Amino acid sequence: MATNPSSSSTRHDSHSTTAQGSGWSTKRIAITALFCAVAAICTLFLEFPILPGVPFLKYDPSAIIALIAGFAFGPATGVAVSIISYLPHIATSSGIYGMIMAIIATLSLVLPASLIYKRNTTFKGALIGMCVGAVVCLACCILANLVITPIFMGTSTEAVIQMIVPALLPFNVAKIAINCVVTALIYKPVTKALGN
Amino acid sequence: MHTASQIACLSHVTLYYESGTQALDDVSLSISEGEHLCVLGANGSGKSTLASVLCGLLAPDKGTVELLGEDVFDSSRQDSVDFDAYTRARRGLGLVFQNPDDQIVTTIVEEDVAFGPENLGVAPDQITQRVERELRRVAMSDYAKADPTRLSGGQKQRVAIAGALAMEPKVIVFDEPGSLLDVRGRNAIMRVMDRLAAGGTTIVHITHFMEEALLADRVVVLDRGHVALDGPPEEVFSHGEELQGLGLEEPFVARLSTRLGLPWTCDEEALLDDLRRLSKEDKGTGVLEPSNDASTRTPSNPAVLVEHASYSYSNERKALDDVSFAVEPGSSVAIVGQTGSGKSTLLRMLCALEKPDSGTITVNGISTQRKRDRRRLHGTVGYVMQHPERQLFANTVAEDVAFGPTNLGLPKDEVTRRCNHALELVGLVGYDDASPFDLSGGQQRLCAIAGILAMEPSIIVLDEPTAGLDPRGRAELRNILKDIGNHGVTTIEVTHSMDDAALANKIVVLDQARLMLMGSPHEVFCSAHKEELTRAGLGLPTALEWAQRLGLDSSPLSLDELAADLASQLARPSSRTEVSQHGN
Amino acid sequence: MAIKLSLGQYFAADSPIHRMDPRAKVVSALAVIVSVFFIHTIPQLALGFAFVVAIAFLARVPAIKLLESIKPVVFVLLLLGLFNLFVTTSGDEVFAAGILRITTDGVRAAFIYSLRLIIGVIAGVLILLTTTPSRLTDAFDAMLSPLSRIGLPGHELAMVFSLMLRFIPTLADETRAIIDAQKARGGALGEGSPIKRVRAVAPILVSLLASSLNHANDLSRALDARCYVGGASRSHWHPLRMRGVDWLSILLAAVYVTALILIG
Ligand SMILES: Nc1ncnc2c1ncn2[C@@H]1O[C@H](COP(=O)(O)OP(=O)(O)OP(=O)(O)O)[C@@H](O)[C@H]1O
Ligand SMILES: Nc1ncnc2c1ncn2[C@@H]1O[C@H](COP(=O)(O)OP(=O)(O)OP(=O)(O)O)[C@@H](O)[C@H]1O
Ligand SMILES: [Mg+2]
Ligand SMILES: [Mg+2]
Repeated sequence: MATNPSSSSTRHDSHSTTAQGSGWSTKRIAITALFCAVAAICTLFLEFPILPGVPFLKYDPSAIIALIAGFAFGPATGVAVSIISYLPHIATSSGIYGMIMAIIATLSLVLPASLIYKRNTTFKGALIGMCVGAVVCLACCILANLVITPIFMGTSTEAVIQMIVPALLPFNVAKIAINCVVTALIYKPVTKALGN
Repeated sequence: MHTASQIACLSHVTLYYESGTQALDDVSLSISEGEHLCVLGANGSGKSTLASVLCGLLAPDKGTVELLGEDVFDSSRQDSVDFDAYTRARRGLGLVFQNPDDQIVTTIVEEDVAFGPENLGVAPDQITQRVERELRRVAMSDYAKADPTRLSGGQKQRVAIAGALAMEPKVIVFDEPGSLLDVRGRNAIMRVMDRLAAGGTTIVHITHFMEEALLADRVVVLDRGHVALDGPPEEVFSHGEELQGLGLEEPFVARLSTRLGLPWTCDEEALLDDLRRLSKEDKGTGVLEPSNDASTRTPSNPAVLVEHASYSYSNERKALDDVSFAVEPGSSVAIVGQTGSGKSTLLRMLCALEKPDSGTITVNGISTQRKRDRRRLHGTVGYVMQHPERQLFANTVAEDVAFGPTNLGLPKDEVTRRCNHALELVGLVGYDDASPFDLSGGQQRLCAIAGILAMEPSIIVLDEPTAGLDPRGRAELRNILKDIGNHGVTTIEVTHSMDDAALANKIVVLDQARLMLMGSPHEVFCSAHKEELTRAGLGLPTALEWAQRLGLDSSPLSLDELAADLASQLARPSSRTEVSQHGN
Repeated sequence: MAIKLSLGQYFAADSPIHRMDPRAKVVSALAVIVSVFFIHTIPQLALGFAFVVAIAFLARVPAIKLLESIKPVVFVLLLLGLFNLFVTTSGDEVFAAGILRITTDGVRAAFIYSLRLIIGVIAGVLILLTTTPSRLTDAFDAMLSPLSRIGLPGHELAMVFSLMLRFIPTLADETRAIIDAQKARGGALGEGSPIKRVRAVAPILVSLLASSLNHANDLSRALDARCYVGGASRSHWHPLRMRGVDWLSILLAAVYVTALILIG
């Protein structure tokens, strides 16, 4: 997805008219902002129950957007999308707990995956990246549940281990799997769509 | 080459995009202060690229660029791009482009206008002055604290103009500022532009509407990146055939003068005077009343029957209020109305995407009340959304077109047959394996439409399908729609163009969620309704407007009808034929 | 699929809370939100509620607005309450059936640990109701500016945040249009088997990403045309200024948090 255009221009690849100083270019700001907005839209409107009849186990594809941002525009953009797009959630029903858990889950998937992809910008690289990301993400989710959930729920860690982890683990695994599979599915058309 | 009154001077400018597309090809152009320049060209001819170069947003690959007296780019220099010069020049260059949504960067109108001055480091009290002044100039003072996303397209575009003006630029480049707006919005933008031009601001106006180009001092026509024609409007538009080859057309006035066999002209007033003089000599008595077509009576077996449909998104205001009409199978219907009048909402109901809060909608005899029926109807009603190219998603054109038929559960070879047929209809044969994202803008739209046609709907519903297309693209799309109409498909289309609406069998006029008028084009567009239509933010077809200005009694809706009416009213046609030979 | 936008729902009014410096407001609200997790007793809960309700009153926010914002959380609260009810085994038994054992401690935990979340939600919602998105961005910018000092793109990230808020409604409209269009082509979201549901997401995501990239290209053009230079010093039309009142309100929030911890 990192486009390496065979530039037919003679002089300079970029047609930029601003000196590339320390700051981000407007293009980078605009792309990051739009990806954040898409991810936020995913969490706000595109969530749907995975299993028919279990309305509260909802899945949203925001992590896919962050993953694609990380692949296409580098780990830093991926990290920015993984964090900023969840900030509005502090004022919604998920509250600070939902926000932190979502950030941890997305970040731990996107960061390893995009770091690996950066060294190997092929579909295979993306697959390896996502596999590693999936493992890291699962570990982080369990850890976060052990540390943060007891504080949020006001119960002991043991109770969380007994009840929450067995219930949420399959759900988390399913979520991560969907994220990776859908990303792999749309990799090719998205490469095209972002290529020009 | 360098004179003080020169605003921009490009010489031999060539620009390649990273993808390899050559967007500008050896363009040489200079713009002097106070000039009103209009840029025309087909889709993809490089107009927007030129706009970016003129605004100092893109540095070309070859040539030299001088903006506001700064030598910003010279490919023969060691450092061809002079960043500091660009920074200085950009302060005096303003840009307003097509989609107002993409130009507004904050969530409050007045803060958006202040955004530019803030970037320039203007002092706070000065910013206050500028914001007030510019909002007043575009007549948006009442909306200073409003949320831009809640404004209509035309209002948003005026905010964007105010935002550009607040930086006090010497030049403003308008890149199709009105192409997404309704008639009223477009007129308001044209008024603002006129006022700016009168006030001495240099204006570069890019448009697909030839009539707007007539107002300019000078017209430049681009063809695949190079300047094909450059001169005053009357000179440029006299190259009728060449223009057609470039995907453009002559303005209405020029076509009319040719058609009537009068000397070629693109000066509206001159032609009007001519015609008035001629018709005074011999004034015939025309038909007074618009002819009464049979289309208003309810057909016995309508394709679509809307009865007292109402709908609201929230409790505050209805988006659709007691609307009733019927559509005959195989006919074409145009829905017109100003922005926010409920057109798109109505279409969503017709496509069975939503059911009305009250009232009923029956499509092909099936009521849209039940969810199961609605899903069934998705196969029979094709829905082409606004900017259909935005729904493209697949890896290849063929896959994208096949999405609908596959979802219908058709066998594989039937899907393939339908896809091929649909691609043939829109003229995209041979593009099956291309990525839809590699197509040009116009082709993307046709590809998306093919995706709908492949479902072989008996009714096709389109939301402003021609917005943003060049004259040739518009004509092509018209032909495709006519083609499928000839195959017996009912077409229902939302449009902002009264000329396009006049081509339909029936017109439905919405105003503020209510049905205002309905009937055949001749019934809707008659002198008696003119005031009503204007009040609703709509206009009349160009031909009818001309007829009124000429004081004709008939109501012609197209150039052909107008010419015929005029011919029958003017002096003996034989004497005119001589003039015709002389004129061309 | 109904798309309801409750984000950025600024409630225009003139109140001391509306006039507060956004930085002070955000810092205080964050303190209140985090302090929620120190609430373990009924008096603490009462104090918490008293505090946020008093603020809401000061902000002239109608009660109905607050109730609206709590509505979506009710389900989570119920779930959390039930969980605590069944997991807590200490205390006197109130009710027992099979392996189910409900105790007084359980009831207390269910009550406190679910209700205390409402305090956090109200604090979060009050921020959005009383602060315009651009003021919020100013606060965000100010709070991220230390990042810029150590070479990270603080100002840029604040701009990203602001543009995200600006584009959420625009993209929401577009998302709905795209969902509609795909639905009309038979690709319905959130219907059918799990595999079908997941499959239906892919086209929508690709379309959304493609169109958001187009928006981004235009937007960067617009930012350039208006001479925005990422991270550069720009002037501010309404510069932020901390007044005595703002310092006082931070102090008040600090006092509240301390009191909350002390009475626990
Ligand atoms: N960012 C880009 N990257 C690569 N190619 C581009 C880019 N922008 C435009 N092009 C290509 O450059 C050519 C000129 O595009 P441009 O947008 O300037 O045309 P235009 O005359 O403004 O068209 P329209 O009437 O559709 O607005 C087209 O072939 C287009 O596909
Ligand atoms: N999703 C929505 N939520 C709330 N209100 C809406 C929504 N969509 C449209 N509206 C409102 O409903 C009314 C009718 O909107 P609609 O989009 O049907 O108008 P339109 O005639 O298609 O306008 P345009 O020419 O701008 O496309 C408007 O007042 C609009 O603000
Ligand atoms: Mg263009
Ligand atoms: Mg519409």
